[in-house]
Amino acid sequence: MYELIGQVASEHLEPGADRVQFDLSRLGFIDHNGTTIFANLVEWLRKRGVEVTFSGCDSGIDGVRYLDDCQFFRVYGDGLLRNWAAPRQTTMPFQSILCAASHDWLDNNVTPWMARVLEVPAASLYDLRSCIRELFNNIEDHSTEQVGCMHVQWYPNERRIGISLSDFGVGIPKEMARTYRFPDDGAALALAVQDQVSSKGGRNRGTGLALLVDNVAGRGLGHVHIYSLRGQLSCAAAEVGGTRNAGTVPGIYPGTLFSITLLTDRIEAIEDEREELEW
Amino acid sequence: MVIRVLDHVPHCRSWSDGDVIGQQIKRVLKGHRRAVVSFDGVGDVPSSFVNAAFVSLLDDYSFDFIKRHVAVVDSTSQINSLIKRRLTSEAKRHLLSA
Repeated sequence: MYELIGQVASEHLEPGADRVQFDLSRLGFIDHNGTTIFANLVEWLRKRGVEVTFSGCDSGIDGVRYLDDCQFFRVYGDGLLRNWAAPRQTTMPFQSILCAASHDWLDNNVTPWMARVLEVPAASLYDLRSCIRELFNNIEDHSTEQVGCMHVQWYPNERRIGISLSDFGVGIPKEMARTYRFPDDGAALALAVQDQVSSKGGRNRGTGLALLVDNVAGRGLGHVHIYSLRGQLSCAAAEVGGTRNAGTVPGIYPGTLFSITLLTDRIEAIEDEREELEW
Repeated sequence: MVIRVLDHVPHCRSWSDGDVIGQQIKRVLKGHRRAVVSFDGVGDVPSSFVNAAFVSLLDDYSFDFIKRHVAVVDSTSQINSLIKRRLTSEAKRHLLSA
């Protein structure tokens, strides 16, 4: 993804040209992360006045056909390549998360779909949904570009669900640099997912990312990968705690990408049983 | 005094939603009454909502006082564990910085 982004954006995060044509003729496969990144990239370029077009849009190519089913060409191109193109049963296609309807979409589309795929009650997803909701809020608070989307894909043969959520904006390391010092962007991400660590200006008080990592990786339900500017952080699943690896990357991601993997076998069925808070 | 959150906000999704509830709780506490917060109809809340609705109470009241005078009912394990986690964590920070 860094190579793709590097071809259309400078190091200072400005478009490299007035016109960009994406050649899709060799797009054999694209996953949920690639779809989110691509959608964001097209949005970002167009918001900067770049003319964006696509070539090689042959629906015989698997990756192109996938994008068509995700309604990508209806949103960003000249319309569906195949007039019968429709979201697959294994896909919850990308949706802007900077619109007022994003929370409704999360509640009324994503949650029931995931519950059905995982064969669990919706209440089993409350912890995860709370974290995703907070990511929406963070992006709304911090995103300078107003470009952001989320895409979900079920890989039944691999028994996992991939959730990709990204904005193009300042990026976590730059936000964190207002308050903290760190040697590199990877270290910034490692710091950001600690409880009660927060950049100034948000109302989160520094818990949102810690909760995401704790609820997914810490409980062994899946993995969380975060990519922002020149940093990346991997939080792998474990029964207790999880392992975290932070580092720098040979490129730049102009914002933040959250890639969440849920291991479908590990999601416990939880009913919506009402209770009182016991202090 | 029961505060059913969805009687005051259309949803519990953000800091702003939580702030409305926080103000309701403070209004009840100032009247020397016990606040009973009902999450009837709500499945999950984000941490920013909890920060505004509950953590903000620590600005005016001790954690012990909050535990004695604020009850949460018709709630889910996600909401309750998040409220406890956030308040416990922030109360500890308040103590350390005092």
